[in-house]
Amino acid sequence: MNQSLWIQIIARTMVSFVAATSITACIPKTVKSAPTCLTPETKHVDQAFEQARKSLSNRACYYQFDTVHSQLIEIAQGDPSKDNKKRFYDFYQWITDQGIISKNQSKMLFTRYFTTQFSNALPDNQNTCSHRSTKETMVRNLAQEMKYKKVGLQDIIGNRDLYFRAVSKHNDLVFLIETTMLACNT
Amino acid sequence: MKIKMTQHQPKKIPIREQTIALAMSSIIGLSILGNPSPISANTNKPTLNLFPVSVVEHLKSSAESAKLMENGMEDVIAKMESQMQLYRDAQCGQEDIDPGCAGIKKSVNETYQDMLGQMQRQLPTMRKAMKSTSSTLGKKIAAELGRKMTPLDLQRLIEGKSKNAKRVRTVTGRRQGRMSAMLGKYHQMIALGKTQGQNTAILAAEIYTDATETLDTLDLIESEISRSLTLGGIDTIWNGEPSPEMMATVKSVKTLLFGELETSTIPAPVQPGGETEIDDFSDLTLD
Repeated sequence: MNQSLWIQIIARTMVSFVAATSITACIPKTVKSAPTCLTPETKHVDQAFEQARKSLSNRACYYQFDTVHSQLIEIAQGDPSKDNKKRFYDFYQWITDQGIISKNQSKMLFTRYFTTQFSNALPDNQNTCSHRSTKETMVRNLAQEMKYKKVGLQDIIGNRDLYFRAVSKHNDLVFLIETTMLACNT
Repeated sequence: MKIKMTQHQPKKIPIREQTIALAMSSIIGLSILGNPSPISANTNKPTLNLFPVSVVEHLKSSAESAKLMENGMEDVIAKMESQMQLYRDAQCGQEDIDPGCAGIKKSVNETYQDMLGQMQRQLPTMRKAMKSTSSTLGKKIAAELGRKMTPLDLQRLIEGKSKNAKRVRTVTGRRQGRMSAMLGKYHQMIALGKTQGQNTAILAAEIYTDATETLDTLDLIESEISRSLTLGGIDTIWNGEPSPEMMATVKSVKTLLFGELETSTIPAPVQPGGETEIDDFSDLTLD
């Protein structure tokens, strides 16, 4: 094969390539649209939970969990009922089953809002005397947990008995922690 | 005929089986002997030893010395208050030379001195009893609650508290009754086991706090008494009107012995009712 024949082959190949790319450039592309992750907007509690489940069923919307949860907490405060405890319990079970949050995170949320336990704010790794330097933080965390319990026990499920029991436990815990720390110093 | 004598020998157990048996018996033995943690495995509730016999004895002697002091002081304080009232009612002034006013002034001075003297005599006994209570209980609390338990264990400890249990201390932390009555109540609760649903840890913390605060008040009263005496006698304090020093001393003594007289401005929280926490959700509850 001589040199001119090689040049012809290369030139034809290039022309074909340019033509092919020009043709495909004209074909309309199918663009994947981003999923719409709606957060519950209704004031009806059951419908809000339904919307939340629908939205979080989409894997691409998992990141919206915190927003959805805050919305549900807010909506439920508008319609206090003891049934709300079961609604949240079922919801936490469902999101755990979906793999959106872990079982421990789920327990943490349920305990925080709907029980009189302060386990989220109390360390279990070292003895009480060892936490002397972080006593103020611990007491602040207990106060913060108490605020969540007001929302959960009083404003969402409307159970003032449980709320006052939580208040009493909070006061006992703070008193006991402060007295123990004082004794540790002696 | 040859009779074969067979000697009964114990069956030999292979070393491997012996080791396994030894390991298993050790595990069973250890589990029976007990858990080294203060938290009981079955009930998940810690066991406590906060009130040794010495604490009960110290409390008893504290209550007795408080009672003794109260009995001695009650009359003196009442006498002094009525004399002061009489002085005010008679409208005696600082420069008054009326013989009646001078007589009342002299009586007030004598009573005040009597009060200071009695306090000085009885304070050491009370201080000793209170110091022993505070020190023994403080060490127990530090050991049992501070070093053996985590903060989360403290929550487990107060789980069993009865909803009807009321604190001996008020919400404001001020004592409203007599000191001897309070100490006597504590002593009874511990010695006779009449805790009435009161949690042992909370009770210990209350007694410890009261004992510590009483010691602080005793320090304050002692310094007030010595200041009164070093000022060179009553004449420099009593200038015709009750001086702030004199009033402060009388008030401290009254508060120490007879409790806070003013009513608390902070309302007590509403006591929870009878409803119990539903247990259907325990699988989503942190311990």
